[in-house]
Amino acid sequence: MLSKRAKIAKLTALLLCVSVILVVNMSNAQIISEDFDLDRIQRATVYIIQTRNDTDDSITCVGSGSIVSRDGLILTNAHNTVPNRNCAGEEIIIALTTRAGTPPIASYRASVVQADEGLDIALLQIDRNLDGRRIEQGTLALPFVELADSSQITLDSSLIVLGYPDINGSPVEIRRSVVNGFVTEPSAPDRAWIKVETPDEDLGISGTMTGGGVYNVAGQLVGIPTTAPVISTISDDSCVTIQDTNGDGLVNRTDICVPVGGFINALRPSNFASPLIRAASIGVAVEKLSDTNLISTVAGQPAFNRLYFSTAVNEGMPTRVVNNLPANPGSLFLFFDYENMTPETIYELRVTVDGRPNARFSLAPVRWSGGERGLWYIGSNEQSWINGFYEFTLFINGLASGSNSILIGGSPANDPSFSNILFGISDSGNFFGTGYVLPTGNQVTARFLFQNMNPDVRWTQIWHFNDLEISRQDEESWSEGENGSRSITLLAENGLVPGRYRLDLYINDALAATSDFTVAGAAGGPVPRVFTNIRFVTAASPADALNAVDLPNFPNTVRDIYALFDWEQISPGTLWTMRWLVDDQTFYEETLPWSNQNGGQNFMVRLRSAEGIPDGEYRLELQINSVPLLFDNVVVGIGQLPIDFFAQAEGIQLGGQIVDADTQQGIPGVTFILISEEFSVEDFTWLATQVYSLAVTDRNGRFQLDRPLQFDAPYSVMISAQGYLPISADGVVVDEDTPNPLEIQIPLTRD
Amino acid sequence: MSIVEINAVQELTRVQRWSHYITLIIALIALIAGINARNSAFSTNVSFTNIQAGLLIRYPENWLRDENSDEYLVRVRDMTRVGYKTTIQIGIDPISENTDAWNILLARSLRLANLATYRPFEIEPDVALPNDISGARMVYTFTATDPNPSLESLPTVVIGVDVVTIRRGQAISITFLTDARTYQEDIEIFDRFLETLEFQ
Amino acid sequence: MSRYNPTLLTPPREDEEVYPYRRVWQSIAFENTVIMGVAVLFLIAYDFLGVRLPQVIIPYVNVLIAILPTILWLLSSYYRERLVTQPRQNLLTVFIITALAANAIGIPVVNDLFKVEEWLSLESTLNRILGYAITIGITQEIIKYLVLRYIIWNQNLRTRTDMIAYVAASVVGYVTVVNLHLIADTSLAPNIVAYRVTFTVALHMTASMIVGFGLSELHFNPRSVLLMPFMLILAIILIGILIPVRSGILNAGFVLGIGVQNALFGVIFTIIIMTAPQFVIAFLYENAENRQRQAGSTKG
Repeated sequence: MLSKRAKIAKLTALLLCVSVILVVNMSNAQIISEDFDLDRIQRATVYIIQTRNDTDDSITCVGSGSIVSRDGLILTNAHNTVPNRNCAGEEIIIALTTRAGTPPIASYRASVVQADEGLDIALLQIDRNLDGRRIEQGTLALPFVELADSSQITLDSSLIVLGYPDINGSPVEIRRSVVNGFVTEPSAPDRAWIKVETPDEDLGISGTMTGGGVYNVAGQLVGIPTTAPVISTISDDSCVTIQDTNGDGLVNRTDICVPVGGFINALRPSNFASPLIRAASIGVAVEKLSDTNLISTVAGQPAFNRLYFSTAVNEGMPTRVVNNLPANPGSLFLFFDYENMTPETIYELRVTVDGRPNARFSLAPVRWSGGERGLWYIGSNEQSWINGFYEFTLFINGLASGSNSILIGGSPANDPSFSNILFGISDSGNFFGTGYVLPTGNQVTARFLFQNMNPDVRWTQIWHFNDLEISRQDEESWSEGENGSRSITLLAENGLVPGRYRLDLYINDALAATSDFTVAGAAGGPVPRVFTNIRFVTAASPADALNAVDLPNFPNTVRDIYALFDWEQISPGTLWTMRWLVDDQTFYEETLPWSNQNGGQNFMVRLRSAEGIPDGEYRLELQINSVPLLFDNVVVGIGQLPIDFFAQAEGIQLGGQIVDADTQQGIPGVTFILISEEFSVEDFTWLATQVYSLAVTDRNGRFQLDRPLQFDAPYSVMISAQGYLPISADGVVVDEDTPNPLEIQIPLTRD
Repeated sequence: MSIVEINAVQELTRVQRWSHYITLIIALIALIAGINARNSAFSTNVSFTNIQAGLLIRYPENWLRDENSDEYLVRVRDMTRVGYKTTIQIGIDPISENTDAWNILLARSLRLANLATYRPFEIEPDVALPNDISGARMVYTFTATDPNPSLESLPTVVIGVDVVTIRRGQAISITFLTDARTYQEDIEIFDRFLETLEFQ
Repeated sequence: MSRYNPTLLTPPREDEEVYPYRRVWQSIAFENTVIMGVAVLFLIAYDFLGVRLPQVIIPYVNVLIAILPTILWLLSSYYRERLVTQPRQNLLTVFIITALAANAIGIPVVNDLFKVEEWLSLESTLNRILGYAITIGITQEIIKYLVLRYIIWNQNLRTRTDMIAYVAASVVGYVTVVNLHLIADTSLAPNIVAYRVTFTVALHMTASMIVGFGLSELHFNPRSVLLMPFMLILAIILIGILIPVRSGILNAGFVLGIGVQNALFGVIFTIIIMTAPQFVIAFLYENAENRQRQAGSTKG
């Protein structure tokens, strides 16, 4: 006989089991909403093959991608599409899934139209048929997906990953996954990466799914599964040999392999892709015409050094250096210096907790997005950190390049500390400045907070200029009290040279706080005067642009607008950012080291569009360390983008089959005409302007309209084919409850 | 054994004879009316004037007319046809005093090279066309297919005929495209189109 | 030995004793009933119960359905004709000549000369009625008229009912060729073949009986030169009406879903035109026969 307690325990266990089953079922049910059009998303997921060139079809790299516009714009990774050392092919072939569950079929060729190699995002445009013939603009009507606001994704959200799982022609793979964390980096202080894990560990996200699509439950694209595998020169699991590249009649280890390895646990959020898509949509290219490579700063092997931890980030700088933390710190960031990095460099973070690898805090190999040298961080402020001994190891191109460890757990310590360094200029006791960008002058002041200090604490301030120590001051005692803020000043009799500076603060010989700042430009306003005198001109050539008249407005027929600006006292290597916006939406942003002379005039950038620059208000912003230093606007046309430029398609995608009613077999070559809502069948006089959309059936009688049907618009339908009774109808209406895509079957009757 | 009853052949009465004749005449009239109805259905035209080209065209009824393209001024297509949609389109090209129709056709031929399996058959620089139109004519072929990759559309071999004539300082190109399998029958449509073309 | 020799309460059926010919209407009724029965059978099996025949036997079934009118006619009409005391001559000749004419002239004229498929379906309703009348209607009816007129009309007609027998032979000859073209040109499901065959038989039989009535009147009671032409016009107009009406009934129309042809209505319509007009025509024949009989007896 069971005791009463045992019965209760058994009942409780049973209820728990039922609850778990219910929760699991509910979570499964939650994964796909009614809006999730899996068939369309599968068909919008493409297999990308990079080949050697247009005469040599040997495969150099593969990946996945997602079609994001009807006319064949594809969002994918840059590492396997933009030619580089590891993927040196020049041609891109796009293979499409025409039916769910079938292997992709090579159908088109594409070109890279926008790319950020560091962020590892590329936009491809399908522009040629497989045989190389150009595709006329507007003739494609491909299934496409819409982008979501990736900042709305929360922890534990259910996501669905789509991509091609291997190089052997497997159909599109669908992986259910859950968000288990966010990674922040200087490129995105909010979230640079979304970390995911698949419920079934055996079904991970394979390397060839890189560049594919990750979707929320509404079927919108929230991220790009991304990994940039370290290339092996020999064929192994991560790089497979499938073709005779050396022409010796054998496919063996002497042939060049195709990288396919690695598993993906990070997504590049879709918000990173928005500027590129905007740029591609408006068809405007930004070209830097002034030579930006006069002085190259890359020399030597890439390296990471000086790894340390901070619990918070302020304007890209650590607030406080920590070596151990109390339980559940909420946020943690690993800071480190880097040098000689390029967008092709692949870095990876591996984290172990108490000696065991931890995928949640690790980052799979990805491309470097931070430029050549500087201060970088990687961490998270949106997830909990369990207690334990954490060891962080950084890898560059597959080789360990630095590590550090931190203990999380225990009680809060009351050790002396410095934090929150800010830089500015003291003038008559007032402290003012922009934080981390200062004008050239004779002095710079740093203000920082201190806590738990006592007179016995020994502390040191060390100032660096371009990694060289220029000032050091050791203090044997602390005289400012226990808690508060303090300012210290660096004086330079000959003036501060433009460049990158750093202040390190040590307590008892241990690094307590550190921060970088940039000196550039001249004093003369609320921000240093680094960039000046932006002008917008149009001219037949760059040479003519130098002498052209600055204009505030341009007609929308203009194809080239030159932006020119002057600069002063900016040191080569200083990271600066050029951002272009149209109607307050960023369509171009690039951070790169200054590689021109210290001062000069007429730095030239060209906005170019072969079709004419679209109407809109364009803005050029110039920044250093995220501090806007100069901007100016120029108006093209009416000063506002046409409404439909970034419009997403809404409505019902209509397709189906037209069959012979007698044979029930599809009739090829029949035209399905959807008449605009303004006209009825009776009004239809066979004018193309009255047609909303039309489609012709294929060999199976199947058709697809190239425009979605808008909700609650009363269309008319006309199907008229020789040999059959015509079918027509007025008042064809779809609404939000109509299945999407809508598949219909229309039997035609012979007389 | 059955009894076979055979009537002798009777002399026809006048009523019988004339009734038969009238029946035959009615049948003949009906058949002629049928052929006429067929011809009428095939040749019922819609008139349309394009001011830019200075042309009055007459194209078959129930063909879809399209004027919204940079490629052509006007295009009409037989959308009720099952298979490739027979098309007639008109475009204009600016010319100089040294340009002749052959130059225009050559330029068109180079542009058409982007079509799949494009192959020109012949270019006649100086041909007399119906309706006293003189100009150049080019016949070529290519394969056309629906670009939608989700559909299994078979390529159709198309024969194209381009006629270029110089009028009032501009080159008027008239293009006829149809399925190669029915070209011989369909070219009559184009001939009728040219015959009824009016320059204004 | 005595024999019981009862007195007849009713006189013996006069027909059985004196009628030396095959009963044509019975044969036609039997043939039509079987053909309609097959159509209804397929309607129930295919469209209602979802039964499907194995793909491999479908071509043979289609051939069987296509030649079903011929088989029935051979058994029910031609074979039985040979059993009566006064058989009708040239039945088979009419059948064969009509079939040959249909194949050599009728179908090529409709398909290649008139090309009705290319234009008639897309015309307005009135145009389609007239169009079918002056293309398909006149072609098939004038062929049958000419065959009947020149082969049997002048020497093989003894009664008006004979005309019905020859019309049936001619119809079956024409229909057989049409049916064989139907199954040869397309890969149809057997139910569709059954519906089409039934409709074709009904259409031809109805129209040709009208023409036959005109021919018989012209033979037995030639009072008006316009009766025969009028009957021809009536027949072709009937064809002109029936073809589009049936298509209109069958046509599914447009729905935002899976459209289905109205097979049930199509079969019902076919059954109606296979029975109702023929009753009327039978009445006309009977009436004309009686009138002539009465006229003869009055004279005598």
